[in-house]
Amino acid sequence: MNSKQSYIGLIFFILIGVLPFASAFIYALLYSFGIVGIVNDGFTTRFWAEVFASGEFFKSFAYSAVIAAVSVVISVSLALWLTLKFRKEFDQKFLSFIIYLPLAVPGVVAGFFTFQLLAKAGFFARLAYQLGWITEARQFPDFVNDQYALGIILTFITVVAPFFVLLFLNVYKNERVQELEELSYSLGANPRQVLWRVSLPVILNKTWTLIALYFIFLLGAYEVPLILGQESPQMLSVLIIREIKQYDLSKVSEGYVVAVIYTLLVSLAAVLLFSRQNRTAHEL
Amino acid sequence: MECPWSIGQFALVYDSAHTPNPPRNLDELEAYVKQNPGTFTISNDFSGMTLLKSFLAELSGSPEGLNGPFDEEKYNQLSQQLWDYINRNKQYFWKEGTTFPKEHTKMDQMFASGELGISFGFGEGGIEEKVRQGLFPKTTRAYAWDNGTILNANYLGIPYNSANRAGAMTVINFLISPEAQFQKAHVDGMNSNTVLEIDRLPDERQQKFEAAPKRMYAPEMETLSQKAIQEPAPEYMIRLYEDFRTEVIEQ
Repeated sequence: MNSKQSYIGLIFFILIGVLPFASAFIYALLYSFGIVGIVNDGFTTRFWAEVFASGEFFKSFAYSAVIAAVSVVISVSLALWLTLKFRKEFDQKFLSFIIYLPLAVPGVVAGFFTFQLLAKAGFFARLAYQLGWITEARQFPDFVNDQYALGIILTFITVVAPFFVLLFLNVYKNERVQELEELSYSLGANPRQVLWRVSLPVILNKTWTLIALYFIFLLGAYEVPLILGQESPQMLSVLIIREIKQYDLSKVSEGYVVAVIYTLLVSLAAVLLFSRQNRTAHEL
Repeated sequence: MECPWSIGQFALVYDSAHTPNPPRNLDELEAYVKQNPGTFTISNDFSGMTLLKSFLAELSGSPEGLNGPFDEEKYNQLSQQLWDYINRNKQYFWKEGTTFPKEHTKMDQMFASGELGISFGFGEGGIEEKVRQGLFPKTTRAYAWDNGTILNANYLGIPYNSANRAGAMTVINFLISPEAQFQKAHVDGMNSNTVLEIDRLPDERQQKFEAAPKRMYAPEMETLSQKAIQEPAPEYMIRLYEDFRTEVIEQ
């Protein structure tokens, strides 16, 4: 009975988890070598050579990685600060409602929300105009579709930081960090030592896999950079979709090349992440 | 197999209350952006590339400059002038030309909010519906470039491997019937011009077309079509789209 159940479970896992992903990957791989695709006519490495020659992928990858890293670092720091500073206040219903609300907002809505607030004709620009700080829309600082991706990073932080607050609060409770802190104090540690030697290491040690997974998640984000990003460089998913949907049908395969490289890199990172430390994620 | 279904002209759009004399050629556009920095841009999509085709035709010196099959040498020479022109002036574009809107819909939003002073669109500028909806101000007008803007038709097609050719033909016959074309052209409907020659229809139909309510804000196609350019060979569009990225956006 038991073995039969696990057998069925395995089939379901393969059917739902592995098969769609594997077939999509194989399709993309074949497309990238010109083996499938309506205007392709047989095996060629031309598209791969083109992608490596243009260098746009690497620029886009670096750009995405920086944005994702900055967003994760700021979100984690903010969430740690909120957790350690306002732990007790989060027990109140209203405050926890406010802080967790962004978790329910989909990326595309968050993107539009940021756009409506921070665009040069958005809410804050209108406020600044009414207050006489600016006299024309274009004087309002660049927050969306801007060179430094401020709008993207800000939106990522709003969406991701509440998740980390929730996570850290749970770890704080489950790992009895408070008791560990009290113990350290009683053994003569000062507040700085308690923070850097006890609380932070305990919390981060338990959560770094999830933090790394969030980095990967933001690396591949689509809607937010689509709405708030600029045209060059673009974040990875935006670049991939642009290549796949371009007018020149003979170059659609280049989009699949980028998708294949990206999938390989992310899969590799995920495998490394979980082979090294596979206990924390499911223990939580 | 294909059959024309609609015809329309690309047009530039402005708010007559704010910009009494909108630019009508590249020199005037240069003067306009210098006087009104930040209020003009080119969307990096089909609409924006259609505007660039009109610019390219102006640089060729005549509305017929791009007619005929794709000419690599002509393209290289004219496009180089076009990129020089844009790069020279883009510091006066929206966001100092550091980036361009991804889609034309975004330009519509920015035109509506007053961030942009000049926009453009298909179907004689595409303003009638937006003014009626209240998105654009009632003083919005559309016009053609002095050297002309693209006038093109869109088509209904039957793929070569269609499984039901007869059925497709029946649908197409309906879509180009006077009844369906009348509905499609109606200002309260799709507001897109008929491809039928109205004076060759039976009298009764002709009267119906002529008695239909007219547009209140957008120009009729006849008033623009003296300044019309034929759709150039498709390679121009593909090349402009690629090169606009490498020669302008990534610079």
